[in-house]
Amino acid sequence: MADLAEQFVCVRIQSMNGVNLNHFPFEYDLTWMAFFQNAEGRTYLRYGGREDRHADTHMTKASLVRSMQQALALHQRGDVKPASRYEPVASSVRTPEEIPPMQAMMSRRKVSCIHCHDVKVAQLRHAGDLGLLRKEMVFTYPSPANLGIHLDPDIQNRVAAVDKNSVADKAGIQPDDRLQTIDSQRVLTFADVTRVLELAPPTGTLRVVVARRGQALSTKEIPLLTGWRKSADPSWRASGGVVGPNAGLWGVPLDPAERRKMGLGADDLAIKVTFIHKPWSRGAGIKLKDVIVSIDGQTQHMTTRQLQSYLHQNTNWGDTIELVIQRGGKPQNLKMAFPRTPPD
Amino acid sequence: MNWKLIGFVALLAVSRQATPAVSQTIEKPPHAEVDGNISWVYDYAEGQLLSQASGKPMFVVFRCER
Repeated sequence: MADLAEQFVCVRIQSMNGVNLNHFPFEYDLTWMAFFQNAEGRTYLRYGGREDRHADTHMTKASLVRSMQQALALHQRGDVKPASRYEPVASSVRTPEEIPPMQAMMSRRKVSCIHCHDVKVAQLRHAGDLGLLRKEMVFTYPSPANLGIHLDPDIQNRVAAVDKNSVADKAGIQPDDRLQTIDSQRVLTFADVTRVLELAPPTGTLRVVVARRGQALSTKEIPLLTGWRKSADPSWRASGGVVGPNAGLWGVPLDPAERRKMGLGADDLAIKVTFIHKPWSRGAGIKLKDVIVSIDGQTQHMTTRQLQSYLHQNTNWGDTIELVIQRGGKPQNLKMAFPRTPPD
Repeated sequence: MNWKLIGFVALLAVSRQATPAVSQTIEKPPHAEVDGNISWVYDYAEGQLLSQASGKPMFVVFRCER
């Protein structure tokens, strides 16, 4: 890996301060992202990204080595991605500091480092200030898994699996197909694919060119159905809290022995409250060590992060929701009233 | 209704209007040297100059390390 890295000028950007967002649009909810570029800042390929289930789903040594080798080959040929809305050649500079809520956000920090997710949080808050915020805006850079395509973590334009009866399945995408282009954009990596999907329409059709062993290239048309960008578990997205209220508490899921003792199964919601930090959670009457077994009618197992994410996506400021907690072995019904507007 | 498109266009329009004349009021923190086998530069513009001079492509990594 080090030998390969020596063939590049390796640039490490550790904060978003001063970064030109017009030049580097990417999934700002990530904590790691890479671009392979020439000296003019034109992109050969992108590398990084994740599925809901884990941060490292598409971060493997094999895929990074492969991407580096591909970037070197493209560099030798001068084969950068053409300037387009997908890979813009920035003619103007726009930094995170210029997103209106950013100054106030950073004024509360001891360290002046603007994190990647701060950019998206500020963008969403700005949208909120303008009355334009929609919960769907959290789902940026959607995974092809939303369409039923699971890409190989090591050879990232190879289809490892296709969900049965998914839109990709119905369009004729098959395991072992190699994605060549999507909507005419070259895709070599998971990050390349999510970049194209980011700019795909809310409904319509994706034109995907695939290579299949022993066959000529073929074009598949994948329909984009309403809501296709949404994924099941956005709880990893640090920006999620901008679009809705949180429970104003933190907790830990009960372990199997504690669940058995309370008559709860592995699939049941069971979060023991360990920290209460908002007026609405205190106002609901929640106490430390209470076990939440139902919230807003949801009784399935969730982590605390997933519980917060559920509230972000499914409730609004000003709502009142019902909870059931277990306290001293007895269930109690509580109501949690969120303030009409999010606190500063 | 195409909410994402509407939101995107509106954000773009308003954010352009809202761009202040003076930015960069948030101090950029100093970089933290990363140990390992790879020799990093921590400034994109410097990376571009080195890329131009050496003929090598750039491997640009965004990684929050604080």
